Amino acid sequence: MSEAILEVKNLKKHFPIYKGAFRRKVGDVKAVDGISFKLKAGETLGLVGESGCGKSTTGRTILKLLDPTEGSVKYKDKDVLNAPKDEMLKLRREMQIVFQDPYSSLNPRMTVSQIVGEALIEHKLYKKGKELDEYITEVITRCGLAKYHMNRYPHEFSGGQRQRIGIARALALNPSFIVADEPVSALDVSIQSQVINLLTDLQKERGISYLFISHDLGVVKYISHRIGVMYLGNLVELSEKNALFDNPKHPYTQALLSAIPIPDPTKKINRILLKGDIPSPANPPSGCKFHTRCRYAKDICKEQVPEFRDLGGEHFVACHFAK
Amino acid sequence: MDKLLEVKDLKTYFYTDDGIVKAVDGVNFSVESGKTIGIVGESGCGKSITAMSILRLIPDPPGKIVNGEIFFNGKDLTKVSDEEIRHIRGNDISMIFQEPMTSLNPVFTVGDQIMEALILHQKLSEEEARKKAIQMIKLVGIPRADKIVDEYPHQLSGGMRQRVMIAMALSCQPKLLIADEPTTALDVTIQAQILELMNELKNKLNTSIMLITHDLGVVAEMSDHVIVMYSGKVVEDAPVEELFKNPRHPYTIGLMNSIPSLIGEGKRLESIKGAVPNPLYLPKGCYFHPRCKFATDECRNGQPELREIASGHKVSCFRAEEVGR
Repeated sequence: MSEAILEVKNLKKHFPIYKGAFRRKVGDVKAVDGISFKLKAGETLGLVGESGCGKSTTGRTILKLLDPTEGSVKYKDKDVLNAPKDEMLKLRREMQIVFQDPYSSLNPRMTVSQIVGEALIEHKLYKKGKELDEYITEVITRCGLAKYHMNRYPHEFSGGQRQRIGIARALALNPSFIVADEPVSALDVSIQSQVINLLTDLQKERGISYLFISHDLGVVKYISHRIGVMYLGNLVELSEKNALFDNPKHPYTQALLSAIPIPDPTKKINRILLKGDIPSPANPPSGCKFHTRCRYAKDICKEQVPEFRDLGGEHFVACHFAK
Repeated sequence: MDKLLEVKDLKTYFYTDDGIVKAVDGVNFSVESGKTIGIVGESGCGKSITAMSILRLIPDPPGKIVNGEIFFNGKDLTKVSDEEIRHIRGNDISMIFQEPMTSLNPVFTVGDQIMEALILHQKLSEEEARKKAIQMIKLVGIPRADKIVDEYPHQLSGGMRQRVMIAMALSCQPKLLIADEPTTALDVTIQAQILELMNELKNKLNTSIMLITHDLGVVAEMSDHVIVMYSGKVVEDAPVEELFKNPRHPYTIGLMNSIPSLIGEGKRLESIKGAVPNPLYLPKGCYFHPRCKFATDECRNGQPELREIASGHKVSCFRAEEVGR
């Protein structure tokens, strides 16, 4: 695979907490707390983790939909986070997002052709008229909708169809990078597979890179080339997907993978049950953030933050004891 | 085997302004004591309405149980008086819902809510009920039970709330626990904890479980027997190993082929084309035929009956013998 098109370095996003009559700042929710990775052209990087681990915030901060607290994001060697306005406008064309909830992410007062065409007009790629309509028809047909859908409103569609509209909207600008934030989580299984197939086909045709965010590990394994596992705002493991699934190194990854129910009644898995819940990201544990739930935790884990190191073959792990 | 619950030809219809919605349309199944039955299907297939019909929780109007019998311990629940069913709810049969936040009352403490059923059904005094509530909270694995008992639902995490729901549902030691998507809103690690807990309690208290879910992984792991529903009808009914080894209904096969982990690397997911039909305008013939790749004229005109094709394995498909995964 070719060069990295996206490079994220030490990205942090903290949300301040205010309290009291004078709105004094009392702390930070450390949603994303220093993560780094690269994404190559035509590659899918899966980002998994439990709710509240910061995976969606990561996706949004990369696109500068949220202002980062610290760190840098480079897209094709351009600095995304400090780009001047006109440069940013160009970048937006190349970097798109598909949202999780196909119900709240489409404007109910706009028709499909308005939703898909809005950005095209905004970026002055097309003017209203026949040409635009033809292009929109082409895009939505590619996403599995038909021409007669163009003048309908979102409420007339099912969940799966709405997600197709969301994908068509992202696709219209011909982006080379799409953040897919839980794009199939709200859909039924039979519909889910239609959308996954669409995403993989588009990648083959156009060489789009995806940052695929999901909590469904089965889906992530199917669609991704590499997978990153997040816990409380940090990446704890990042590797090629088979290496990760066959030989998980971080105790959290091990527990997470063993928790997936297997659709085969004859198989019994040795489940590693984690104790308790995820700690609050406003007040994360010292040292290794996972030590409170880790069955291997020693004293060093409470004191020192483990380094995110390469164990060989680009298999990165943040654990003192991983070999 | 002794059947704890037997549902016979259940039909629950909703009379709306636009027409009659046959949410549950002739469903038959039974639950043996100490066993888990899984009910699988996509949104709108009638699985939750089936569960709510058992407890007579269907809002009437517009809903109505128009036909069928529901035998629980030999009693027909569709015929018992309102007072009797109130006595059964939460006592002999209890239910866990999908969304633990909306099914807990935000203005009462966790303890109050668990105690309510104990005082009402088991006739415990307030003090005894409180003790029992703390004991139940401990049983479902929540730490600091004596503190949590006085906390409100919003102070707990999603996993903890679901545990509270389970504690509440099990406090009266019901014979049947209906769990409607109990882990859908939870993360996998928490899901694993909850499923483990349900299994443990089932073994300890010999409770039967009716598990409603769309996740075939969860079904494979938890159930002894599975029924698959589509558009208000049972399309396949089999013991769990048989169903996964030898699925016979094209819909069941389609579901399995659309799960990434069952398909394997590099292979294309096989999706079921189209979407679930609108319950107001169901297709003629077999309800699945517009989405089925095996459909023939027979399927377009006639509706297949649920028939036994192997011991304990029932399918409603004309071509069940020919199709396979």
